[in-house]
Amino acid sequence: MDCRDVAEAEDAYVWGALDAQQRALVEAHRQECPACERRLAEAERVVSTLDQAQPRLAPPAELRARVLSAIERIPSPASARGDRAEPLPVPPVRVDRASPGHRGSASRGRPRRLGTFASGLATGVAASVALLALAFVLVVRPEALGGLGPSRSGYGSSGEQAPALPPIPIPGGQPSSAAHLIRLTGDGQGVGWLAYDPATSRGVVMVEGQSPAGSTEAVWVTGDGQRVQVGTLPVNENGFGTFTLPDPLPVAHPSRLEVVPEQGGPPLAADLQE
Amino acid sequence: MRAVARGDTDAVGELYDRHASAVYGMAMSVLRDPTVAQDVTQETFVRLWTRAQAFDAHRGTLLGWLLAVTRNLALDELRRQRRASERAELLMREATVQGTGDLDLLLQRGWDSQRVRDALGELSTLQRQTVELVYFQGYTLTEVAERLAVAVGTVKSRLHSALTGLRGALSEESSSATGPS
Repeated sequence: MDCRDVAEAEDAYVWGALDAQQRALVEAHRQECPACERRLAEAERVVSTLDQAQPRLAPPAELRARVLSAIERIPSPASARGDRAEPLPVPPVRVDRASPGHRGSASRGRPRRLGTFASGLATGVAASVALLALAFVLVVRPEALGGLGPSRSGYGSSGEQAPALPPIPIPGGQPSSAAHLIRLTGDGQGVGWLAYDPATSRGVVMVEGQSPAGSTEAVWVTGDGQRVQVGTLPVNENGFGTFTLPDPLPVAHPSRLEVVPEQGGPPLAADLQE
Repeated sequence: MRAVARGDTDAVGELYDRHASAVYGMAMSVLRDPTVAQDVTQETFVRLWTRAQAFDAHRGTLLGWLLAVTRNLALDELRRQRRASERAELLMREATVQGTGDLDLLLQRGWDSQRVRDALGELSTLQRQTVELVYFQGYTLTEVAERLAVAVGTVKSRLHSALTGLRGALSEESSSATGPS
């Protein structure tokens, strides 16, 4: 898309009437073209006067506590990165040959190159924001979904697959993902959940009470005959940890996910469905 | 915002106190459902928390950013509901009373600003209708064209006129407010 195309699409873009694909093209162009960026930003300022003219309406008093409670349970990006201006670390990749029982559907190979693993990590982190927020609501306060989806009550036993959720908008992604909430089970005291989109293999792992505060847990994914460590999950001072699966996963046809305490102890695990 | 970016939850509380009524008002304005509007309000402040680093004060105000996030979240939800329940079809039928209705049902928003009321008053009914369907109901160009039985080019043209008209009205008002008296 060049400047002429952007000018053609400008009105529809600033009013929000472009479809996702066209919108992405305009946004890609404006990031690289200062002239179009200035013009679009000015038009957006005009349009946004409508936003600021909406009537104020006091929300119910209890919403404040609910919002702050939700926020307190989500580590801020500042604490997550330790306020270091360093690039995100690429998790170590270790490859084991999986046992025959873990081979899954190897014959339907959909090879993914390990070389794309690191570059996909940033995308995975971005996608995790949306997934993590959803996962938080599902795990901590499932009733908050209210009209946003079907009731989540009544599931969660060993390896049980939750019903399909409504599509989740993933920043920068196509609005076609459908996520599942999968409980991780094990013989220890900990509990774990995976908010997972089998269509794209994106997901976020959450574990609580599995390992001591300050320790780490290895996240392994098995698929197509390989068992690969895809990263390390840090456990915070409350015994809670999250981990965003790299996108793409370095194995095809992921069939099982395990979270293994690096200081020893029983793992949490779940089977994945494609 | 710097405090939020540093991970200060009290700062989020202060920003909530300052902006929650605007955020909730926007969510209600689009969704008209208190339960879902509360969920959207919560998600907006969660995003403030998780994406504070990305906020750029040079590109606009915090309130403007919050309202844009709120509107986008609300429209995502509205589109989901629309797909699920055909609710929008009913709205669209109300909106397309064979071109003669003045669409008061859709157009009577409780604008909180005389300035915007005046600016919108400069737009034609068809322009305002198109803006309403696109900006506050989340329809794309193609969807609006199909539902209003007009060409895509006509929708584009109305949006262009609406933007020009709004810009002109706001700029006239701005210059008259700042000009010599």
